[in-house]
Amino acid sequence: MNNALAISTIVIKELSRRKDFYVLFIMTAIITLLMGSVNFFNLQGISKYLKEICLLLIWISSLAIALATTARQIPAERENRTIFPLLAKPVTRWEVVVGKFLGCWFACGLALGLFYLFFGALALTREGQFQLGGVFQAWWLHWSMLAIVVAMTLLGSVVFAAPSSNVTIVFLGVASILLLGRYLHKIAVSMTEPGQTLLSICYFAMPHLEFFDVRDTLIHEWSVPWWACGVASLYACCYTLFFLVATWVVFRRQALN
Amino acid sequence: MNADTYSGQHRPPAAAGWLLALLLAGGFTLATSLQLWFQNWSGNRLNAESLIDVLLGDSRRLFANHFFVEADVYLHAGYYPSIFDQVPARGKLKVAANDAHAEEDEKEHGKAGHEHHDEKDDLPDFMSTPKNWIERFGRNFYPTEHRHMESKKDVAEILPWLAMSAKLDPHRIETITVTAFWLRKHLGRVQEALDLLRVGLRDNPDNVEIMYELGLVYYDGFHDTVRARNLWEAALARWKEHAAKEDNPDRLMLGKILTFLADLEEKDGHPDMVLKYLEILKTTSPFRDTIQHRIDGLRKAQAANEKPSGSLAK
Repeated sequence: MNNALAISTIVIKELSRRKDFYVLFIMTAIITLLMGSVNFFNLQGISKYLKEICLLLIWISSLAIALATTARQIPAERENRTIFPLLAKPVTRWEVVVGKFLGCWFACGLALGLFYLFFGALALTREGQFQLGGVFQAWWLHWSMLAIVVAMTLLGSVVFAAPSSNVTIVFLGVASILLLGRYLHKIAVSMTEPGQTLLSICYFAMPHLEFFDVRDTLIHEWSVPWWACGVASLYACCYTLFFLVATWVVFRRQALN
Repeated sequence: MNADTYSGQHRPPAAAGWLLALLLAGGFTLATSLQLWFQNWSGNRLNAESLIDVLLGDSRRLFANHFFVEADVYLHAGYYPSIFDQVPARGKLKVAANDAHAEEDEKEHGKAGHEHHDEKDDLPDFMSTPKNWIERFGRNFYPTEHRHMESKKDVAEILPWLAMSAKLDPHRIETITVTAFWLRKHLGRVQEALDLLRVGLRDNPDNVEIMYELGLVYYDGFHDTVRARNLWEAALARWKEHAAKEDNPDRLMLGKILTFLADLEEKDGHPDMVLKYLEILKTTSPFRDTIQHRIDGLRKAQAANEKPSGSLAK
């Protein structure tokens, strides 16, 4: 575990030197503040549209950061041949996979924390109140979802030939689940066999990332039960472990050169 | 490729240079003729009125519609069906159902008419019992109860979406009139409603619905009956012009205009004009008996007023 943590620290340091996060954070802030400066019929204290735009940008940015950083980890080590000294430490391949995952996930968590702090500050200045519980839930669930995405991307990085194809495929998968995941079974019911069975299998087998999207509850001031947050975290944990083990299974048999 | 490539032996043949020159000349010639065609082409976005038109083209209408629906989503506090939910056929969206039509209903048929209208247009229950544990558990993470946002602050939250919708598609009349209605009726922003409608009328000259809504702003917001009457009379004239050209004219709009005009004339003590408007209204309204009752009452009152003057003449 120490080896994995050491690798994750290196990953975080490496990611802090990259400019992806800074660019996306500044863009999110600028777009949100520009939208906030628009005057709608001289009305004061309107905030929900701004929260919606800000959260959408946070989701897009977080996905971009998670995918771009994770997809390059293992291929870059192999390309630069730094994987050989790393494995000669001795560090097992499982520790490499877990270390890379933890590094990317912690880095995403830190970035996400800053994004949500900005969101909280925005809500505080516009509404004069801060839904601490709601924002914490949204951050935690979002981060839990990113654990699945990061693990999924790590698996893609040992399966697909290039990071670009990995990013594209995982992004399309994640976007499809977020947009259609909730309704897939309804669509399946209206289909004929064998499409109905195939789509139903997909529905029950895929990770339901839409559980973690609580933007509507945050914007419209609904609340998510804490027990549901706990169960969703366990759900994320299961899928993350599944993808990590799958990555290790593929990676341990893979030739490195 | 190494340094030898550029030695004398591997120099590109002269024909390649001529070919490049020919391609350049061809490109230049085509550009001179295409530029003229492009300037006159109706699909040329560079002649568009705003940057949004240049960037989005006709897709801005799609976004405008999406933002209009988003306003309705806000009015229901996020509880809203997706395209995959089985929803019984609905009339207008709630955001649009609360417009001046409901106002006219209330005016013509009392509070009951308004409530009936509200109930009819409201969001039907679209959430059936969950089919599996994923659906059941997933309902903890999004709004699942029907709730209406009725306070002034909540209503104000829908306006950015309506404003963006109106900006994206200035020819979407429903957005303009609905926005003006919420501004005037629920937020008391009469001047802002007036400004919006004036811009709307500039973009859509002679539009009957905008004229009617403008009349309401003067009548209800500024209590300026003279301007309200002028606008409604102009709206009536435009409606007649449009009706002469169309197969299926908007009789509902005619009813609204006539109701308010009749009301104005009654207040000003012009029973002949009231009767004239009510007679036309009777032919279009589904509440003919009510209108006939009103006409009979007016005629009786008119006759009662004429009798004493008649006996005096004798």
